[in-house]
Amino acid sequence: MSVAERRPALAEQVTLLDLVDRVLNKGVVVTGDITLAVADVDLVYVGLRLLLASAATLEREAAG
Amino acid sequence: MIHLYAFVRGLHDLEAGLEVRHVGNVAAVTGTNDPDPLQHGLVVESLLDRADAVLPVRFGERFETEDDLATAVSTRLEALERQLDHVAGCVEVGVRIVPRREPVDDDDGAAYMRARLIEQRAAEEVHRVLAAQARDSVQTSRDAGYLVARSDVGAFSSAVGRLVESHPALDVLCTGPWAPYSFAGAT
Repeated sequence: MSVAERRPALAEQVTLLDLVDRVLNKGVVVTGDITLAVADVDLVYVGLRLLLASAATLEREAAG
Repeated sequence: MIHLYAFVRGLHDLEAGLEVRHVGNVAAVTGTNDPDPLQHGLVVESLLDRADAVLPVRFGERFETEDDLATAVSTRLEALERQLDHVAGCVEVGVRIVPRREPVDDDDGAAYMRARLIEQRAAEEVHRVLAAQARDSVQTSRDAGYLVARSDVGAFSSAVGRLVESHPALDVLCTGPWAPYSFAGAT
């Protein structure tokens, strides 16, 4: 039995983290030089806070 | 601003707010909104059900005008078409191997090294078996991504299940199916 099957809440957190990890670190780059400054650093920060908030919610639900 | 989400082939449906822009033979899914990384990722994943081939673009590709987008993409058309061919009909399955660390006497360096070696060999065997069932694979230290035909995902996850049974010393975490990020390298 995998970790995922034993702990569904953990699996969801891992999946959410995986998703953001993929989006930020993998994928085609066409400009050759990704500048997050163009997209605004604050934007990334807000996105990651949203992610952490979601993971914390999952954890509370798992505990509750 | 134009935000670039992915390149696609065989797109048969598109959610509201997104647009397809063609550069040569390549179709780009774009939006004029300002997504955060999570939203970007969810849009790319949603394309998996709507297109035959999805080549995800890394978050942060934004262009002032359609001409800027076309200029950036046009120099990479050949590579993009090749990558779309490669991932057509496929999804990515992620496999993370986590050794189930048995306690080892801290002072016994040889025992520690033996334990690490056994884990490493088991992980290599898992990768070898799974890679043989995939169209392509990439492996980092503990994570591996496998490019699997949609119709083979069931068989692939059964194979993961069998490997979990036969390797009690490893926890194997299987994620996906994902858009094939690991097979959408910089062009």
